[in-house]
Amino acid sequence: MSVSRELLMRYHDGAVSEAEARLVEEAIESDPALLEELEAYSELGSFVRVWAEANTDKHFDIADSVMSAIEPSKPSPRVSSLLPRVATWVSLGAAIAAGSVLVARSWSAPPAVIGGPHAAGAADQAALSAPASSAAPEVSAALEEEPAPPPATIESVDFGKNTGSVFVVSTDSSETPVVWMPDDGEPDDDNEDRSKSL
Amino acid sequence: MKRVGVALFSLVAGLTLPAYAGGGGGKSNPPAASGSAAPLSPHKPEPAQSLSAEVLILHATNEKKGIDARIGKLPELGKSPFSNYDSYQVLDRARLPLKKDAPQDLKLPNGRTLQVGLLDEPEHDSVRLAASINRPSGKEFLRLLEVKAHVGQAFIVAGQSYKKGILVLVIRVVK
Repeated sequence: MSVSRELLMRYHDGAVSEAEARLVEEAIESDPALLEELEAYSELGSFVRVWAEANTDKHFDIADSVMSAIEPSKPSPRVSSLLPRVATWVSLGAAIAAGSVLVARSWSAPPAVIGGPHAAGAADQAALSAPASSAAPEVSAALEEEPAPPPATIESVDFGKNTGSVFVVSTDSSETPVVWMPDDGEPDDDNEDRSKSL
Repeated sequence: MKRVGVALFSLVAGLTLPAYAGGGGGKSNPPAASGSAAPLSPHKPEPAQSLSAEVLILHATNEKKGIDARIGKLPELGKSPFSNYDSYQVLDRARLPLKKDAPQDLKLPNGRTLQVGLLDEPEHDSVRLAASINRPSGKEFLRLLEVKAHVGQAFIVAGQSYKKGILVLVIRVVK
């Protein structure tokens, strides 16, 4: 007499009717191998139980796992601070101002003066020089940084038969070359007093 | 932030590149505020602004009249030998355009003639000019004076006797 494995397993689990239990017991009496198989079920059950208990600590919940994975990438709450916007607009304004200054400067700035001091050429050359006078047009602060032009220079003077002198008058703001040439006493040909006509 | 950076770069580049594309680093002049509707190209060379010699004719005396307010700021008058005179009056003021091969004459109060001519323009806003003074007869008084000066710079020719004083010619290069 044989019983099915399924019935034997249900018998092991106690899920059989009385008739089925009697049937299994009769089969075990006639076939001791079935008893060994029944004991094997018990061992298997113990193994499964131990394994389940061992994995109970490692509770795995797929929902929790997904949520924990999402958590770090969850966007942080948006801070509605004005500082970044103000910084952006300040930067934009500074860039516009810088660009405008460059444009205006490139349009209005005179080129840098090239050249060194004037070399004395002829023997009678009077190397007298003077910087730009104070009556020059006002320049912007940006242009003031540029090097001043070389001073005015009297490159040569020919007094002819007359006499004269050349010198520089220095002031706080300028050095002006002067040609001083007094009359030699020789009257002009017509000797007319023209001062009345002025 | 990336978009802001790109926008800033484009803006700055758009503002600055045209200015430098004019080849100039400052050599081109600003567009004139004229009524012309045609925009001025930064590549288009504009005619150089002509320079002139501004001649201020002063009469220096010791008549205790003080310094003529029309003279403006001329600190040289407070320095020797100009400080030997206590009165300075403006007799005349003239502007002589500086053109090459076209010397300009100016009649002086004493009847002599000041002649000023442009020799060349060695640099931007700089000239080499020649000046001379002739008597009414044509005889030379000051045969030749060559001066190199930039715009705004002046030199002085003084000493000619005139009416109990002397003439002081302040010659300044102006635009």
